[in-house]
Amino acid sequence: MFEAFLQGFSLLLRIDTYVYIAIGLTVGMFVGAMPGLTTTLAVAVLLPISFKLEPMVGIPFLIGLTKGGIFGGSISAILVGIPGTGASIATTFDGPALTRQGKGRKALEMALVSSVTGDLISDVITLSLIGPIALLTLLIGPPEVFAIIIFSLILISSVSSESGIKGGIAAFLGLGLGFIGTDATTGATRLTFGLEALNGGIPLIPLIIGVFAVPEILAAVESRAARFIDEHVDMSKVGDRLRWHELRGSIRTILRSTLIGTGIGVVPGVGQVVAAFVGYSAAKRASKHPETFGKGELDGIAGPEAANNAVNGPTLVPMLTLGIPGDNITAILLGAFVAHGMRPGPQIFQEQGPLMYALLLSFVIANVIFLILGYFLIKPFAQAMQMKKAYLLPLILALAFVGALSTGDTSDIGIMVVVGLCSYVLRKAGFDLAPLIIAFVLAEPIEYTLSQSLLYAHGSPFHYLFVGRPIASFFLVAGLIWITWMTVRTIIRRRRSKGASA
Amino acid sequence: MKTSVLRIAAAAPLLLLMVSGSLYAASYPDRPITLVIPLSPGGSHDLHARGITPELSKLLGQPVVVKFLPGGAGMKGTGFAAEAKPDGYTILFTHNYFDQMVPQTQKVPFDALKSFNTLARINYSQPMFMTRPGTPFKDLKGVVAHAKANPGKVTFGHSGVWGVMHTPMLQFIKAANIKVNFIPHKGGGPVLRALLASQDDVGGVFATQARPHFKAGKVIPLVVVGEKRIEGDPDFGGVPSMTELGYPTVTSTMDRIFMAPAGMAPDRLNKLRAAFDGLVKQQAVKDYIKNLGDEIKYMNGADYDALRPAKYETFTVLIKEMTAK
Repeated sequence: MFEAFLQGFSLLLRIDTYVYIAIGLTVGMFVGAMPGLTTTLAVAVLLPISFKLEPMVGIPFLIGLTKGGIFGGSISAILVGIPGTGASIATTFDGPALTRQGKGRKALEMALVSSVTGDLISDVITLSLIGPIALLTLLIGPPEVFAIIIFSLILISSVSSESGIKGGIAAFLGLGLGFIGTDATTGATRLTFGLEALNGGIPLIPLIIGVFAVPEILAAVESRAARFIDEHVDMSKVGDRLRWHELRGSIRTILRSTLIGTGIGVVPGVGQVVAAFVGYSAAKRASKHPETFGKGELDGIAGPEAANNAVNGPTLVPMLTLGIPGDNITAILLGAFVAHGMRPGPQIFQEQGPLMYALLLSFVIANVIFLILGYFLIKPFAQAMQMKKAYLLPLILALAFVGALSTGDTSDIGIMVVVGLCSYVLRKAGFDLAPLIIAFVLAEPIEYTLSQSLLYAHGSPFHYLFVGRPIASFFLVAGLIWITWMTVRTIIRRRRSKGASA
Repeated sequence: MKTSVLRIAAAAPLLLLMVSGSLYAASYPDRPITLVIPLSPGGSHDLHARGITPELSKLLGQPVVVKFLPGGAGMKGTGFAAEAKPDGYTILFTHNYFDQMVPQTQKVPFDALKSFNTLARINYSQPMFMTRPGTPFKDLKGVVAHAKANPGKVTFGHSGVWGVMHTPMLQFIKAANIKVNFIPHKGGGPVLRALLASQDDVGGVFATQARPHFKAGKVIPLVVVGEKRIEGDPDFGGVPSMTELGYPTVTSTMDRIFMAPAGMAPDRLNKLRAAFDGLVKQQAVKDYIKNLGDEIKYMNGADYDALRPAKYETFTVLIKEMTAK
């Protein structure tokens, strides 16, 4: 194995691999920064280019596209509060606030450093532990996925500062929207109100654009200010870079989120969205000043960004060792492997060891290249925010429509507009819509894994759970204990404060 | 005199329009053709299309642009193609379950048989039922015996309701008169994962995906769906077929088919069908599909169209029986 590893190194001694990684990163970043133009779309469109290249160039090119695209999604999240993908929703909690304070560039650089660090460390962990991770992924079946999602939701909601009732209503709305369409376990259509456009369910991208971009644009039109950045901010300081001491302050958060992301990456079908939310919640919980979160806190960027990128390493494992993709992007990557004549599976490291190690190492190197590229490429994005709103808003609006249409279905534009107007009203009424999106994203996996688990349980769920699935039982019990502890603690505190005031 | 000049003046553009119209028809296609795939990118249809579209473009003289419209058990993309103008600029790459099965199980805005014409069947894949080390059976007979002794206990993993694995499994439990516990998964990958993780006892899998795991000894093939074995397969050539084992009604394979919305001008339909006739003879296409682990098993569009009503009817009967309980 070590010999294959060394041979892999020699395959990396070629310049075109790095040139294509850099091209992929740059293109991905620009595509991802456009609201609605997703990484998956960019990878799917540019896949044929990679077929014409050798595997050692074509596949790193796709990896570059993916990494660039995911970061691009965070750029629009930070600057205008419009997440490019589900993974960067948690980044909108602090990003736009920082931008308004004139710290947009600092936030972008914090996102870059966190993303690259999270990805790099998780890639290294994955490379060195690929065997154990492969075994672990097989231990995680439907009941475990269900338990881990529930556990994550408990963690996330326990640090949410928003009004509990309004958050709950938003989450229920999200669940309801998520259940529209074809029931995956029975094949029946439901909640479509007879509209055939809804048979396929509500697509995520038009929903994200509707929920985030449309209200953001309308709110910006409403406010009379000429720019996005607050008027009292000293414009000469707007281009300031991230300082060393600011980065040092977030190192613990970055490392914590990296571990969280790597752990969640092992769970199939949950992925980046959950990791980002859990990373954010954990950062807030550990912070000495949790009250600054949501009002423009750099740690609030580092938390989700490191976590969602740390998912990337472990999600590659089932694709490489079993030939089973974990999400859309790894599905496309698997296609690229197959088209290049490689069939990932248990023997691929024996059959094509040097090439596989070289590819994995190129993924690691892509992070370093990204750090350097990002250092130069971030500036124009940050500067765009100094444009007058009169120019910027129509541009964002046009991109929102293009983004909704990018799925290729014109009815998606209708969905975006309807969702957008409703979201605007809800926001005006003081609703935070992040719980809506996370509930929407998780509605399907929660329902699906629960119904699968119940089918496996064959009528005796408790016996199945506690005898057959120790990992799932652990997470469910841990979640219960956590809720109980939080409730007891709140009651004790209330009593104490009452006692003190009396 | 004056009137005749006017008449000519009025007729001229009309004449021009007619001429250009006939020229227009003769020069089909004169703009890019959209190929709708009602599935996610990265799957076997995507990979097939990547090898087929460049050659198809060459034969037709226009680019063929792929458009993925997954969702709604394939009905989103299928509905899109059904409602497209039958002008030869929108075609569909799908499989027989989206074409003949799913439209019968949910409300769709088109008539499955009347809305499409087949352009070509590129190939078909025979699913295999596999088990894993650690189950109490080694062959199909053992599965039947075990399921008879433990009704509803043996777990059968499939890739989705009324889909490519679920359908032959339904045909099988009907033929063998057994009850099993069906577990739906989201696609073929998760079926294989559940089998490898020892969650499911039996899984429906295709040869290409199962091959590396078979070589590693992690899966045990029980039977291949259909009349014949997978001839010439180095690993699975020896797996018995359903007909051999006494279940001749378990025949449902996955046919990869190209369709066009019905009502197209005959010259365009013929041109497209002829392009596929030529396409499958090309060595580049053959090699490409072989590289994917499949092969071309061609049937021309007219022949497949003749088979569709009977295939549709088989599914109608199956659905009726399975939903009657």
